[in-house]
Amino acid sequence: MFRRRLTALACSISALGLLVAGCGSSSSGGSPAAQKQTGQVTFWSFVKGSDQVAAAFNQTHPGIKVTFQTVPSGQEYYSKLENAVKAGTAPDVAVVEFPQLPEFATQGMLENLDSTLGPVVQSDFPDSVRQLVDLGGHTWGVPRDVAPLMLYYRNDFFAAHKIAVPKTWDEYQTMTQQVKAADPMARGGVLFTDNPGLLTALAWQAGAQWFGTKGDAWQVSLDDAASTKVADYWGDLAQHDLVSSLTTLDPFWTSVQQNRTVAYVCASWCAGSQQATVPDQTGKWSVAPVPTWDGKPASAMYGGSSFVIPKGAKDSAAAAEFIKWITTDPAGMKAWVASGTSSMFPADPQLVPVTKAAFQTGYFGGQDIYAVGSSSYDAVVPGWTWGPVMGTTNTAIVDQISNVAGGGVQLSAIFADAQQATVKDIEHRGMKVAP
Amino acid sequence: MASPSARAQRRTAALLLAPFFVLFAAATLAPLFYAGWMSLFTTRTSGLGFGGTRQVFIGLGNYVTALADPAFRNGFLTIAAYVAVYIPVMIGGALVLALLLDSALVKARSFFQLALFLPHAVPGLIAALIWVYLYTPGLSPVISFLNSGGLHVSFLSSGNAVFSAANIAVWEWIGYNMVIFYAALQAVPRETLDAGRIDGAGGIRTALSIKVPMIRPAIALALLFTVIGSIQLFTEPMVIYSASGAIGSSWTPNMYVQTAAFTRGDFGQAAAASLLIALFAAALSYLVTRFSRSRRQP
Repeated sequence: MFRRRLTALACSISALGLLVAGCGSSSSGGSPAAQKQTGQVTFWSFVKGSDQVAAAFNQTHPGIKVTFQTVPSGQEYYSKLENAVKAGTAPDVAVVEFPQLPEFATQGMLENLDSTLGPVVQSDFPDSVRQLVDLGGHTWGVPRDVAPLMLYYRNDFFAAHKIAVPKTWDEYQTMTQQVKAADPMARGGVLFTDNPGLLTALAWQAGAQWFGTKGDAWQVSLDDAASTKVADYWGDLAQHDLVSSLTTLDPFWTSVQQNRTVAYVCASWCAGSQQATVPDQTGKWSVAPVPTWDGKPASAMYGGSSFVIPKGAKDSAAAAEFIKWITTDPAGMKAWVASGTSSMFPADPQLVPVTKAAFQTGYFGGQDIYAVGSSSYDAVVPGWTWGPVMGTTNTAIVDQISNVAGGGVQLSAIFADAQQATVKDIEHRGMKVAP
Repeated sequence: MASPSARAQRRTAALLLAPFFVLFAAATLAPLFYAGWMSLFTTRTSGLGFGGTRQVFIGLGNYVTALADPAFRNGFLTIAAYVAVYIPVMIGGALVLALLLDSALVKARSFFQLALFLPHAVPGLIAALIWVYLYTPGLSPVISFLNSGGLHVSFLSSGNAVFSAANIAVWEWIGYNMVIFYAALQAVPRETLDAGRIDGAGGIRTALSIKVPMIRPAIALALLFTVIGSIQLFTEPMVIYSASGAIGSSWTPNMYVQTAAFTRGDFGQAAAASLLIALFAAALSYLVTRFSRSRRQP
């Protein structure tokens, strides 16, 4: 309370004509609003390189002390963060992936960043990613990385069996048939049974818009034409055993290791995971643009993260300074990828050269995978927003997805069920849903 | 008028009982009342939801929502299917093993007792992780072995999940219950057994007509604990759920509570569902005790 009054006082003095930058209300263009030089910041993250980025920040910013605490990833983490906010023990800075951001914002868990980092978000990021953090007219997080889709394939397998790299989804289906014909154990794709993220991205790529706002109401359309088309396509591939149905972690990477998965669609970050998890297949993998429905470039994102200031943060100004450095400063971005093994794709396009220079491309035979990533990022279909109850939406999809391959359930029917569960939960929380 | 010695005795009793009641109040009653209090509220926001949230009193609304939710009700059906598989196999198996150990057939008695009890010493979470590893195609040596023999079994399909979960629980609990039954069998008077033998009863007849009826209280107790434990089924399916997606997030009632609290962030709903599960377990244990008592006193 005392500190806030002091800041207000400092601001009114500076408003007398001395300094303008630094006060809550100033949002003049791209000029840095947050210029705090001292403070204590606790920082929760599960993203690779978080410890290095905190250490690098501490070295270059002697006045601000960032204390990094590693946390688990996934739903466990979001429960932990939510409980911490409810209990008043929230950190000053936390990572939140794009899909979860609206849920945190609508549950009143986040500080509104309009006056601190809003201008940075306006000036530094393209619309396709800005729309993921600017919600309801306010800025809730600053994007760090995006996850444009790519096609990963075994160039040795494709060359040996004279299989062409697919450019459209029709050709992709043909490719999966050729792969299975060439080696009955091998498959040319995966339907992840424990994570709807990739499937959602593929619907997004096809032009679906699951969520939107109209006035003060949410629009929900998980079962629109584009989503149904994508669901029918992948459900069909799974039921004909042309792609395998696996969970995202061990079973999937084991299948890659054992040459049972020779092509798959994933985001940019998979490149780093691929070379870390299956190091002995060096030189055998290449990346290509993700296939599209009409042959024209189109893409979407599978993952990507932003940094937020949770409600109850003790030092928002220092937190904002830290967030700005780790998301938009070349030195900050360099610290993230210092290990040389992260294929993280920066949300700020100006920082792509930084990560590109750090990533060792030997695994991919020297291929410029960041060029594929950049064109994919440019082709991300605009207009997508995530919904306010993604936990419920995702759970409703995952609960049934493993039954698709057996033929027990149609994938498109799962989207219809998820639509119902989502609308029900939005209304249950008191929000409006447009008819 | 109580004599001074009786009063001193009462004071000692109160002193000795106090730690129990303090802990009982702090660790059982207080959370129970807190859950009851929380179950009457829900978090609401409005419009698009960016204007903040508020706590709203909704009376029994959370209970009505839980009972009306097919996902919650289906959890109890899962438990019914699980119990139908698990209880006969586990209790029956434990009984057979105890009777075998008690018979003259077994040589290295204490070795078998320890070997069968050993799985119970493994914490449930670890046990579930080990089994999920054994169930996962591509990792499991068991599945590769079965495949090489031409047998293709999918332990983690939604149809087999009940059996896979029951199998883990049987592995964990059969030795434990066997030890209880075996201990009860030691208390069967030798004279009764001798009398049976003199009347010409063989080993199997002795087991079925003398030993089993005489340890019925132990069996009833094991049954009671098993039924209550089954309603609370959580760890094994949760590990199966997170590892494979073969089952849904609300496969058992306790998983429904977990999802409500930690995926949907709806603590009121989770508290209401927990109390409903507790009520159901209380009612069921009452029925089991009634049932086993009436059988004992015909």
